[in-house]
Order: sequence, then structure tokens, then C-alpha cells
Amino acid sequence: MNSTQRTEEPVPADSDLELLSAWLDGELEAAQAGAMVDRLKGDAMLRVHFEAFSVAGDAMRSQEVAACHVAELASRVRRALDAEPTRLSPGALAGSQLRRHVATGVGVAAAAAMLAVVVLPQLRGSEMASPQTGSPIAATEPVANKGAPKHSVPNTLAARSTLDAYFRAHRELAATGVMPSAVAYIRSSGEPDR
Amino acid sequence: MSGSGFGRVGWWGASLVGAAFWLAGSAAHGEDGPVDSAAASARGRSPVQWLQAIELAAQRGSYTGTIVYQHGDEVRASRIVHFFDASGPRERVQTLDGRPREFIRQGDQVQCLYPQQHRVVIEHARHRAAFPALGEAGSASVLEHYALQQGDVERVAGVGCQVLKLVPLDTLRYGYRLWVDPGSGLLLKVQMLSSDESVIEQIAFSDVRIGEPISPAQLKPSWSTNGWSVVRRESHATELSRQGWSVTAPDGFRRLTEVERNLENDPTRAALQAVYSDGLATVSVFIEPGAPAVEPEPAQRRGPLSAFTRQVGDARVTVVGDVPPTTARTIAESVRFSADH
Repeated sequence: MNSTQRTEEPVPADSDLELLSAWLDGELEAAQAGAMVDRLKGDAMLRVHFEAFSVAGDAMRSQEVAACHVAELASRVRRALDAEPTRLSPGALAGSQLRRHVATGVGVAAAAAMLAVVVLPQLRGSEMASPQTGSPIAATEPVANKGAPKHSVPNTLAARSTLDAYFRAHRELAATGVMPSAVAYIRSSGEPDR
Repeated sequence: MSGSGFGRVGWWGASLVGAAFWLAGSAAHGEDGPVDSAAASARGRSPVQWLQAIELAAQRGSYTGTIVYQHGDEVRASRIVHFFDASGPRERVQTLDGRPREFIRQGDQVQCLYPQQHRVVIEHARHRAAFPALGEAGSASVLEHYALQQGDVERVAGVGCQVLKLVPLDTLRYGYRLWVDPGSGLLLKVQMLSSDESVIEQIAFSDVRIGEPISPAQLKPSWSTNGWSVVRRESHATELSRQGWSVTAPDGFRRLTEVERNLENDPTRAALQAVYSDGLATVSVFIEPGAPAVEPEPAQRRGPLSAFTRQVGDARVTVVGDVPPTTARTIAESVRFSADH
């Protein structure tokens, strides 16, 4: 991938992107969240930004999760941010913060450039590849469901937007392992507020 | 994962044998030769006794410290104060980076404080799972599915720790590497390991004080919650079999609890939740009758947790747990419904 190539993309309204970011952070009420899911089902460009925000957030939060999207994405995102003349410190950007900066477009040339230069092209590239190509997870855990049809976008959206609820409910009732019980809360300390 | 229970004696707890280890080792660690003293403390302890000591320390120890959590590139730090007396365990966890938030545990209740939202989420542990077998029997049950290997003595947070490894005896579970303070039994570092022994996540104290006095002020939240919105998470005991559902868990996983609840307090998201554990790993099975149908897709992973969703009749079945994705899928595919219950 040529990291200097920029791709022109129509951009949804800032207010839509802010709503999208808030939704990803779990900050919308149930009705607003439902409306956002409905909009995403019908708005292809908003879906592109949803994917971009998600991948960017994953990349900033976790090398392993980012690798689900494309190998070395986290490193590429970080390098892109490092190369930008910006006051933002990559290490200080949590996924939600990054999205919010991208969403609002406030003095975030670096983050916006990162999306255009790195994330969106990578997304297109990843669509052509096997879902787990290059993923260290695939190398260690047989996650791929070979018999499953190619995901529809609504299914992917539904999965991402609902998994948090299961993880939280699991945490509330699950027994502890060998670790102190507080570990469950420490693990989840990076989740969006709720 | 979590808590064998805020407010109840966990499955690691309540062992008089383990108590002996705690009492024997609760004295502060001296600065001279912690590694040597660790080796001496560890001498002659059986695998069952190790697990009992860890169990007891996790539940009944008193300690303060900074815990660092790491998963991939993600690193977070939290401050923890854990106190135990006759009224039970009390605990305060403060995040030190990212968004400020605190988790205050007292008795059967955990308050999750989100100051930026001015919101308190209250979780009740009345139905939180407790592993049924305590003490020696419980530890022995764990050791039917994991082999405990004793390693070297290494320092963590300035304390000489005994390194232990719990190696799964099949591919249904992850492994663990533990760094245990032999005196108190407290885990000072834990790694969860995949089948190729790569580290899935690790949690370690960067500093710790064990057995020192803890004042009530150390357990109080940082903010007044007057005027904050309060959200209560509720669940009610039930039996899946009475509603026609059956789940076949893998060998070694025991059913710990079954509840009815609304996910995220959303009245349109009624779900049954059954929790299973093999003593180390824990899995939840969610059944949502009438939920919108989902298309087949691969298992998802987030940190140490795997999730797999499938459709059974008109119900969505989702399995979540700190197990390999294949285990989550196997459990999900075992879920059956019979109208003739």
C-alpha cells in the first residue's frame, strides 16, 4: 500500500459523525442508538466512516484486535500519527478520543490524514483478502468459520454494537478465576462510559 | 470473569488450610533476601495447597497497590485497595489513565462510578456465580483439567514470588502463569496463555503493600454522587430447563448460576443467562427468545474473551467467556430447545 496516496471521499456532516462517534462510545440513549443502527444499514458512506472509526479505535487500543483487520495496521496508524506535525500524542489517544477528534475535525489534520492515507485504503485492501489473512489470531486460534457466508454489513454492525452488552453481563455474574475479582473491572476500565 | 463474588466467600475462599498459609505469611516482607525467603516458604507445598493459598489471599487478604493490565498494545493502570474483615470484603479500584472511573465494592454490591456521565451503575451480586466446591475438593477439581507446574522464584513489585504454571490438559481452555507471594498467597502477576504459550493478557502489581492497616477513607469514592443518575442492574434466578433449554458444557465446566435479566437494562432485550466455570475459566450462555435473527459468522475475540452467536429456532444464542473461540462455539452449538419440557 502506498502510504502517500490520498483518497477523496465524500464526508458526512460533522453532526452525523459526532453522533456516530457518540454511538461507538456508548453515549447515545437506546432510541438514538437504534436510529443510528437503522441509518447505518441504509447509508453506505456512513458505514465507511463507521468502519474507519472502529478500525482506528482498535488500532489505538490493541495491536491484536487491529490485526483482525489487517496485519500491522496498528503500527501503520501509529507511524502515520508520528509523521504528522501535530500536538497530539499518539500514546495519549484512546480509541474514542481519536474518533472524536476525527469526527469533529478540530485541528486534527494528523488523524484525518491517517484515516485517508492508512485506514480507508487498508479497509479496501482487507475486503479483498481472506478475513484472517495475516492475523496472528488466525495463526493461533481457529476463529474463522469457513462455512459461513460472507458477512453482510448489517450483521457485522449488529455484532459490534451488541457484544458490549454480553461482555458486561458476563462480567457481572461470572465467577473469578485465579485472579482477584477486581481484575474484571480493571480489564474493562478502557471501555466507554455507560 | 469476575468475582467469585463481591460479598460472598468465593470458591477460592473459606479454606482453613489456606488460612494457615495466610496467617503464616501475612507479616511484611523484609528487604533482606526476599527470593530466598520465597523459596523457603514455597518448600513442600502441594499443588492443591498452592491453589488454596491463592484462593484465600484473593478473597481474605488486605492489600493496596497499583495493578498494570496489558493486552497487546493496550496498557492500563489502576489503583486497588482491598480490605477484609468480619463484615466481608471491601474494595476500591481507581483507574489511573483514560477516563476517570471507580469501582467500589461492598458486600453484595458494586458501584461503578462514571464521573463524566454523572452516573452510578449498581451491580448486585446476589446471583453471581460461586464455584460449588471449596477448599481441597475445589482445588482438586481444577487440577483434573490443569497440571500445576512449579517454576523458579522471581521478583515482582520487589517481592520474591514463586512462579507456577497451570497447563490445560486439553484444548478447551487457556493456560496461566502465576507469580505468587509465597508468604501471603497473593497473586502479584498473572499471564493468560494461548495454546502456543503466547501471552493473551497479563496483569501485574507494580507496587504492593500486603497486610498493612487500611483506613476507611481509602475505601471511599473520590466523588460525591449526589445528583448523579443511578442505574441498577437486576437479575432474577431461574432454571433454563423449565423453559425448555438445555446446554451441554464441556468436561469440567459446572453450571454455577442461571438468571433472567434485561441486557443493558433494555426492556426489549430480555435474556436468559447461564454461567459455567471449570474453576479458572468462566463462560456465560445468553439465550434471547424472539431476538432478531443473526446470520452465521465467525467467533469474535476481545482481549481474553471470545464470543460466538448462532440462531436456535427463534432465539439468539450467544456464548461469551475467557476460553478459546472454538470452546465458545462448541458450547453454543450444544444449546437445544425442546417444546416438550
